[in-house]
Amino acid sequence: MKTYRPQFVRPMVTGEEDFVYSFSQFNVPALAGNITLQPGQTLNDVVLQLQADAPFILRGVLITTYHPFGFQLRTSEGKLMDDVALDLHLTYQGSNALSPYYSMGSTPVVVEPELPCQSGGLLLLDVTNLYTVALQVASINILLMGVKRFGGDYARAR
Amino acid sequence: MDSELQRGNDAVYIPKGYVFQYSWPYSTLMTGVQPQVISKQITGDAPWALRAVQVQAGLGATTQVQIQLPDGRFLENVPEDLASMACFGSWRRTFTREILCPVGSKISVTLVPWGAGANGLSVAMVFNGAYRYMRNGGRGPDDSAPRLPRYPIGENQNILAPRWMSGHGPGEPGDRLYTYASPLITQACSGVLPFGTISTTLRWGETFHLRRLLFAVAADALATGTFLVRVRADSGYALMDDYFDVAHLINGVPMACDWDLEPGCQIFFDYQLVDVAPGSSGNMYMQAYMEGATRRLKK
Repeated sequence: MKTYRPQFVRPMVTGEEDFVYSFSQFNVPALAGNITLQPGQTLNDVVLQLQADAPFILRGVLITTYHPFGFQLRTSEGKLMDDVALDLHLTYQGSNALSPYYSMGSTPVVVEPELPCQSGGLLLLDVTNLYTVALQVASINILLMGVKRFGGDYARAR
Repeated sequence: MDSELQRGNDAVYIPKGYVFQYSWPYSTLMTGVQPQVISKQITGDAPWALRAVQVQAGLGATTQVQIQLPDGRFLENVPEDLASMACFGSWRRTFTREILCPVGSKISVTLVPWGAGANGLSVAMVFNGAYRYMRNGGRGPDDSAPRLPRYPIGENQNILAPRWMSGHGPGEPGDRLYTYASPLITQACSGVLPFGTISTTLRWGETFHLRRLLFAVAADALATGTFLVRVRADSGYALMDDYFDVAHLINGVPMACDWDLEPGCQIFFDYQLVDVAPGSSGNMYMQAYMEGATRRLKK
């Protein structure tokens, strides 16, 4: 009897290709360097825009930041993935993180069951300052890991 | 899974990694530095299956990376943070399935520095994979893994524990959990640093299958030191080739396989007391425990 199977082992689906969405100050205006959150303040509905070429199957989330922010994710159907904005180490800080707010090379937090996101859809992120002083949101890096599920001619050609 | 394997062929894989390296001089002001694109061609006489990426970079490395795969696709929508994308060893980034790269195709890595400091940066990446040589007439892929439950229900919820800790072999009906204890070592921390041997004799009429060793170390108030131990049996088999700090390194660690011991076998613990600080006084104590299963001899 095997007592362990690794995460991410999936039935093979033709046309699935690994993909990683990266969101940070460089491609999300709401996370730009000049935006500051006061203690307790929440930045609502940061749009994480997905590409329109294929549906994305979300299987892992990894958020890194130097600061004690709280995070709350919402799916493209509007469903909350977290009850309230929780501190990073309770939500999307990967394992093997070298410090509470920095996740050098850590493994993502597994989303299981996987979350299908429609092609061209979006996820919404709420960011809350859980600290006692004002913080800049520019340190936030968000990685969404999973696969794109291509269909049609692309899948048939694989 | 590509069509060649789906047709029921087998493959022989030979591991191979491709290394990407780049360094900016230490004095380089990273702000405004142009992105660097490094490409590498897949060489050899068989397609190469890409399976994982490992990265070594400084903590707080202010660089982003974007990987272009041999089929022209980018792995990321935009360059992602190098420090959080991957590490190495058990924490490397693995792919959901292997990506088959034909001979002559290329992997390209774009490094985008953005930090404001005057720090140079070195980046080393290894793309792990294996050459795939096809052969006819095999069973095809084994797709049983996805059907396993993520967390099997059992007495022991530690998914990395050896299977015998959940009551599933190797073993036989009638095996009994049993723990032997060695005599107590009492060693003074003064004078000539000591060494010695203690032993435990196992019972007759049953074999013993040792599954882990536990060491209890205690010290008087002013005593310091470390016990180095070598464990061996009277058959001449030694569990380790030299003395080491067993209490810290293998204390309570489940063995990968049972250590099968004959009835009446004698287990020896050769020990040395080292690293005694100047001025130490009093005694150091150590006792070893051997946990495993006893199995009655068949008549």
